[in-house]
Amino acid sequence: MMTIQAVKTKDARGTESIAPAQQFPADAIAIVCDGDVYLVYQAGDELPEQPQ
Amino acid sequence: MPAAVNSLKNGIANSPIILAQSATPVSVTGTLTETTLATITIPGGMMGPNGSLRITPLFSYTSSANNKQLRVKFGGAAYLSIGATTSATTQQLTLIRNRGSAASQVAMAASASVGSSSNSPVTTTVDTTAETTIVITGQLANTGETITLEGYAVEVLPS
Repeated sequence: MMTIQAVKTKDARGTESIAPAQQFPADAIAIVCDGDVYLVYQAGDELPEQPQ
Repeated sequence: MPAAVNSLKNGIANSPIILAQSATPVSVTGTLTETTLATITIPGGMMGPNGSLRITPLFSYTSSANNKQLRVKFGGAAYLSIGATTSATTQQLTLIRNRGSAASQVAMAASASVGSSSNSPVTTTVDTTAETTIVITGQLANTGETITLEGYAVEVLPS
């Protein structure tokens, strides 16, 4: 598992958005962003429960 | 030589190309800020003046009355911007066409995908001779819910 920083930016109207600081790795099997980081699950990692 | 290179003529692709596709689920939860779920780079000049981009995202999300905003953006403009509430999944199709120029685009109204809409088509002047990006995002209205980009495909239909 690895984490990628979630970068917050504002456009010209002041609207905020979040984007990953780097590209997702090619071997990611699932990715979850909580607003602060992107949690990248890779082969062998236990996946989180499916959200309802 | 890769098939994608063989299908280039004068730098413009002359057969459909699957530029990117993924079925790795990317989710957002815990924030109300619009969040990038996928970023795809379109190489400059690949579409051609009459070419199209076909983007097919599949989303799943918490079924609730809260409006979950799903977007597909190209060159910063929203070509798909829909709200999802009490359904559980949606698969959309966004087709962005260059209109006789590499810097003039037209597409279905952002509030719809295929079918009909009372809204006008989306038009932009993105210079597709330069590298451009497609960004697929999700935005929650309740931090306890989740949006997942289950997969997507991005194709270039050149002309």
